[in-house]
Amino acid sequence: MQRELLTALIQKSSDALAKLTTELGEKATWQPLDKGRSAVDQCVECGYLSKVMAKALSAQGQPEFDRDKMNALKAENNTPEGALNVLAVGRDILLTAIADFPAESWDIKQTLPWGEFSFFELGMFIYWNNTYHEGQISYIQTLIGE
Amino acid sequence: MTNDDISGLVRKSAADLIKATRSLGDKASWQPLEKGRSAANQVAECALIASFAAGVLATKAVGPMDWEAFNKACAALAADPHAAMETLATNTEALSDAIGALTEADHAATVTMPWDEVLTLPHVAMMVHWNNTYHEGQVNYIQTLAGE
Repeated sequence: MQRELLTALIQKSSDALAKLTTELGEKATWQPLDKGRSAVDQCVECGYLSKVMAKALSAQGQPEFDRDKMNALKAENNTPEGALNVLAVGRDILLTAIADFPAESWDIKQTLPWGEFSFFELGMFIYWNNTYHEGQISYIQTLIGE
Repeated sequence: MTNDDISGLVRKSAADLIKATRSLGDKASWQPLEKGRSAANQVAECALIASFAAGVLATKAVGPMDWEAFNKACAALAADPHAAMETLATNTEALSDAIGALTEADHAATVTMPWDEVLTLPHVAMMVHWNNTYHEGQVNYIQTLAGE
């Protein structure tokens, strides 16, 4: 049940991010008012976090977030093509980890600095994050007037 | 997912959206570049969608949707950001009650949404979670643009 739900939600939310970013074309690197994050920047973050969560699921351990690594990945992939590739790779690795995750372990909890979370909840975090950024990239589209 | 799981996700997403909007203060009605929707308008939409979803769960049916009336109601509610936030909180409580009343059989029941998508009743509730989260992202983006 958890596996099917997570698979569907991760796939759908990742597809939505990719679609919006593709539709933005060259504007995918635009930073509204020189303050807002670009769609490309957000796609790389979502792809990177998917990969981090995939590793945590595969090891049944804690997610190991490294801001320097993420920023380096952003610098290397500051184009629509690069960002979409990072997003797709992260999605695929996560979907494989979800498919391979033992059904009996979804409710096992991990203690993180901001609370206790089951592996299922950690998977749901990626869905939440993708959806949150889907909203932001869609807002960029609105600001462009398209 | 259990009713409690779904209800918890929906309640948290609404609370986070309200918190993000409240932190904007006077900028809750600001429309960036005169093109973006204001935070207040988005909260009003989420409040009305929560009410709509609660009705669907309670009746297990979807009535006809009058989008023009919906948009008018949304604009009217958005005129007062505090009222919009209060309404979102109240309507989320009603939705939470409706989720809590779902039986096991209800979890398999389906309805056809006004945009022709067939959803199970738990999916209708999760649509509200998706909508709140999507708009939380947008409201926080407004905050970034406001430079606060």
